[in-house]
Amino acid sequence: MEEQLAELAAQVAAIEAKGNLTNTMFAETYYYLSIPLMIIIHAGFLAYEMGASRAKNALSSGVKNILAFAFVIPAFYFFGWWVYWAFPTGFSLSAGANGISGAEYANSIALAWGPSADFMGPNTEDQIDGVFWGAFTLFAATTASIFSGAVIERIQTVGFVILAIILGGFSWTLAAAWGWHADGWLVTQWGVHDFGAAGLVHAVAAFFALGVLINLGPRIGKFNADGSANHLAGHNLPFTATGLMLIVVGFWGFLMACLVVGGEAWSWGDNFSTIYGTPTNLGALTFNILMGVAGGIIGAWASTRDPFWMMSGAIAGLVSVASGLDIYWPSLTFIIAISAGLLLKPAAMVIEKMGIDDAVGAFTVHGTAGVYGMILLGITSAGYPAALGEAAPTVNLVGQTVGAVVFSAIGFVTGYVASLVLKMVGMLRVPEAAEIAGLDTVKVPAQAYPEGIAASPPASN
Amino acid sequence: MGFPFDTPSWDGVSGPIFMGTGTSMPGIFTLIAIAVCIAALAFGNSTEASKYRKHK
Repeated sequence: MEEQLAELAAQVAAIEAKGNLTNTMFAETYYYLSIPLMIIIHAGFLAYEMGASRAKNALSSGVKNILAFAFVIPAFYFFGWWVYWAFPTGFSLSAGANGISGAEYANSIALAWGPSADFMGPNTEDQIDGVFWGAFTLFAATTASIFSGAVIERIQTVGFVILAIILGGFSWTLAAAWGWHADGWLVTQWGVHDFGAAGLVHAVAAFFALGVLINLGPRIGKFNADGSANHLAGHNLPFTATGLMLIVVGFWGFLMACLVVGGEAWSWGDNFSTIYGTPTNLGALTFNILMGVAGGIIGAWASTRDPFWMMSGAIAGLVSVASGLDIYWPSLTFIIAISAGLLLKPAAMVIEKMGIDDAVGAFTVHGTAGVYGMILLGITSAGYPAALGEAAPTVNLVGQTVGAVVFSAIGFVTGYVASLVLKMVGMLRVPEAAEIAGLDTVKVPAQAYPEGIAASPPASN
Repeated sequence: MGFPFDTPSWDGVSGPIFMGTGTSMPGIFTLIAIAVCIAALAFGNSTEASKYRKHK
C-alpha cells in the first residue's frame, strides 16, 4: 500500500511538473508570437509613410522608418530595458513595494554586462526575460514609428534616428516605468490606469512629435504667406490605407502583449491579468478591440468620407479606448471610438491652423485620441481599483488627467529639447535645395518607380 | 570564448549557455556593439551631409 501511494505521489509530481513546464512554454510562446505580430505594425507604418509621401520622397521615407526600427532595438537592449526597471518610483531610483524596481534591481537583471548578463542572453533556466524584453522592444519601436510619419519629407535621416533612439529608449520607457508598472508612482499614488498604453505609448510619441515639429518647421509649400494651408497629397493613397489596416492587425499583437500570462512565478495569479495585476483576459480585449476599431472607422467616415481619415479613425478609435480595454463595456467602447473618429479631422485642422505641419495627422490620431481616452476613463471607470491589492488607489478623473499631462510632458519636453539641440548643430532639417529636388534623388541609390506608373490596357478576350 | 563548460557535453548543463558566460566578454562585446552603432550614425551623417552639399 505504501509503495502504491509513493508511486502515485511520484506520478502526480511528474504530471504537475509537466503541467508547469507546459504553462511555462505557453507563456514563452505567447510573448514570442506577439513580437512578429507587432512587427506587422511596422510593415503598416512603412507602407503608410511611403504612400503618404510624394513620389519624390517615397523611398527616403521608407529608409527613415526602417532605420528607426533597426536602431531602437539595440538601444532598448543597451539601456531602455534598464530604464523601465530602474525608474518606477521616480528619479530617486529607489526600490518600490513590489521589489521589482529601482536601480539595484535593474542592475541585477537588465544590463548586458556583469552578472545581469545571465538574463540578457541564452539561458536554459530563464524562459521569459528574452520574450518580455522583445515585446517591450517592439513597444519602443512602435513609438518611433508613430513619430516617424509626422516628420516626413524634410527631416535628416541620422537626426531622425537619434530622435527615435531617445523616444524609444528613454521617453516612452520612462512613462511606462511611471505609469505601467506595479511600482510606478503614477499608479501607486494617483491610480493611473492605462492598460493598452493610450497615454504612455501613443500620447508620449505624439507629443514627442509635436515638440520636434515645432523646431523642424513645415514642408516647403505647405503654408501660404497668409497662413492658409495647402494639402500636399501623398502619391499612393491605396498604399497608405492598406498600411493603416496593417497597423490595426499589428495592434492585436501589441495588446495581447499588454497582458500578463498567469501561472508563473512572475505572474499575478493563475490566469491572465493586466500589467497592474488586475483581472482581464483575451476575451475582454477581443470585444473591445473590434468595437473600438469599428467605431473609429464609422466616426471618421461620418465626418469625412475620406478613406485616409477612415483608416486613421480605426487607429484613433482603438487608441481612445486603449486605457480601458480590460474593463469597458463594448457598446460604450463603440460610442467612445465613434466620438474619437468624429473628432479626428477637426483636431487635425486645429493643429494645422497653428502652423504645424504634421504630414500624416500622427499627433491627432495618437495624441488627441490618447489624451482623450485616458481622461474619459477617469470619468467612465471611476472607482475601479487601478491595481491589485487592498491599498491600491482607484481610477479617478484627477489621476487620469495627471497621468495624461505627465505622459504628454515627457514626450513634448524630450522631443523639443533633443530636436532643438540637433537643429543647433545642423542635423535636423534637410537643406532647401534637397527638399525641393526630392530626397530620393538626393540620397537614395534606388528608384521607387523606375518605369513610372503607367496604366496597362486590359487583356483582350 | 568557446564552450563555457569543462567537458564538451550538454549533459547536466543548465543556466546561462551563451559564449563568454561568467567572464567579461559579454560586457566587452556590448561596448563594441554600442561603439559600432555610434560609428554607423557618424558615418551615415557624414555621407548624408555630403549628399546635401552636392545638391546646393
